[in-house]
Amino acid sequence: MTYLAILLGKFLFLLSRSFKKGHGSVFPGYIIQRVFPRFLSRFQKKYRLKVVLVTGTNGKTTTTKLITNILRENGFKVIYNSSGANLPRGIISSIVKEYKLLGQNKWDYGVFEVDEGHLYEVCNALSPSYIVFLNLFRDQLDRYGEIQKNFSTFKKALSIQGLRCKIITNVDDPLINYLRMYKKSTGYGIEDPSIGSKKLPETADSKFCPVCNTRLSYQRVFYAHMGKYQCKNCNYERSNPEVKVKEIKTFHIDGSVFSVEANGLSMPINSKLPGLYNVSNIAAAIATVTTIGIRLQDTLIPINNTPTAFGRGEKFTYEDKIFYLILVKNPTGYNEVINLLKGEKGLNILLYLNDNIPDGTDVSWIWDVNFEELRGKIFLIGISGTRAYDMEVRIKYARIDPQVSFTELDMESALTRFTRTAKNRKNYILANYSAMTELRDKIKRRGIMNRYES
Amino acid sequence: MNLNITYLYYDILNLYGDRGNIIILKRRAEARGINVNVNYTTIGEELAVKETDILFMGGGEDRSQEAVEMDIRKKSTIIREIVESNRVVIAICGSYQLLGNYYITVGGKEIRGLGILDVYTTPAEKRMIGNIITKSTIKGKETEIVGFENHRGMTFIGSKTKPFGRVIVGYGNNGRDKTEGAVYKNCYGTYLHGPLLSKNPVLADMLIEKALSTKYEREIILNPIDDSSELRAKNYISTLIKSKG
Repeated sequence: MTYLAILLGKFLFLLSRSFKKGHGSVFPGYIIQRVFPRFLSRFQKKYRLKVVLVTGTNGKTTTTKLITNILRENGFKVIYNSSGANLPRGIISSIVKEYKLLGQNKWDYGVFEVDEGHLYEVCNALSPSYIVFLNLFRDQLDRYGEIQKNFSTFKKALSIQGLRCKIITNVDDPLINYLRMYKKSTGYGIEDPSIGSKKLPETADSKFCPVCNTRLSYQRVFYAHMGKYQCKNCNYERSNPEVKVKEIKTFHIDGSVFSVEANGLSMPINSKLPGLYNVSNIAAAIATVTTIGIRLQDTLIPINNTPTAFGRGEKFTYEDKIFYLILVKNPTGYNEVINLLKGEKGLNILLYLNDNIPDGTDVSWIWDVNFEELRGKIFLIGISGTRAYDMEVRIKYARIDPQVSFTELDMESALTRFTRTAKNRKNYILANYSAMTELRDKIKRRGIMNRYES
Repeated sequence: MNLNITYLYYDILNLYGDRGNIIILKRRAEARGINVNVNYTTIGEELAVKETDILFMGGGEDRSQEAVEMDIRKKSTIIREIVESNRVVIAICGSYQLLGNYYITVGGKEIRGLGILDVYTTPAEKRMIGNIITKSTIKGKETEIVGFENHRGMTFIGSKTKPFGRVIVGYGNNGRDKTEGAVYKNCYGTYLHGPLLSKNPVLADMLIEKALSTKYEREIILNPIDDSSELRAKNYISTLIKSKG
């Protein structure tokens, strides 16, 4: 049956390509899910796949990539959803894509990122051995409802009878840390006193104790609601992490230098991934693979070599200038990217804002982004996407006062205009989900720019 | 002139970019040479009538709403005084529900509101989500208002309160009677995010004018400023929604 389903899927891929239905990354999976509803569990059994699931609002794609690279470097065969399609049908599609009709199909691990709202469904279809919980932020509220709803989905998934898995938890997030009571867990977190501030940002999401709903007291805030917290009412507090991030020397758009401590050993890391949020994602990957049984020192090379995932700070060149394509799909992610950029002066940036289904049709969240931090630091700002006019209003009220600015609804002409006008060595394109994927396709297809090899 | 804005529960009721309304009110007043002071007030802190010309409250998750419930009751008398003295109050979504007589949670729990707006709220089967267009009379003129709504509560209006707008496209208060929001004196409750004032500059100015007129006890009219970006964004989305029906 599994083989039949895959044959059908392969056929559908061909079909969708000839009808030019995009790159058809989820359509075959959707049909297979309808025709063979038990496909995923059958597939897992047949290939004796050990499954690792990665979920949370931000960092799923990068963490999945890191875990996959570390496992592969250590000799394991891994299948994963490289396209970032993380609904059950997307997972099925990536399996169909990977499957070789001629040749051997053998895997030790399936590493799949899973949309927060679909964890319960996926845990029913696949039996994971490990689940990695990264964080919960406000994200596309018109689609997924509130953070509490996703939190409930997590708890419901972990309460499935007979689910035998270990979990990897971000102790810096008070909601994620709470999940430790459900399963045996490996926690990871930032343990560098020089990082963060004392005050929660105005728009931080989860400030209340998951046990008694009292406001949490923060001793330290790393970013958003990540930090060292404690409930003064019921004494709920951040767990001591098993995997610790220490000595963060630097984090910027081109990478970070820090060290990680696990099982009493310490290892310095020099990563190419941008920002503090990726420092946290690397800790998540290390916590996962050391729980699986890989030695800390055997994670170093794949971690240092892992480039940014597609559209997550990916670099392209055009006429000797570098263009960073950065996905920004919710306030927390956006604010972290702004934190990375605000150190520069005379910035050239292009902002894309779409309101297609994958983005969420509500664009109100751009007002939770602190564009004000870029005041006086921008030379050129371009604005585009289906909701470019909304973004223009936001930027107007942020009083950024750039030297040059333009708004163009059409994505491609905005890109052309930007690549021609931008004068800096490094230039930045910030786009939300559907805009990022569409842009990436355009860049690749038209050869507007070349992929930058660092 | 001075304008004091109080953002109550700024750190709890702040979903969907509601804080944008504060940024907009401040900027629009400052563009007219008015000094603006924003007081950020939250649970356990004092709410001062004299320092409040405009009181603003946003929406929140159910849990956040529950967290402010006890505290807002302690502030009930002061909020009522703010409303009765013709100061401006803007309450979005969750806080709109809190200003009503009561609301019933999805779990069936009845929560008493402040009873300032004569409305009550019950949960609907499905969330009401999407772009919305309403019409209201703003400064004597029939004006279109655009925003985004996302609520499960169905709100029904009693006799002592008037609806804020009439629904052209979208759900509004309850998806049935074509009303949106509620008004009593200068106290406005509405479901519109977007944020509300980002694409409705005439409404933003009206609120500032009302607040200043109350404060300085004379009619104050703001001089016009450049609203081309705001109106373009408004017309774009309005045309798009209408064409989709």
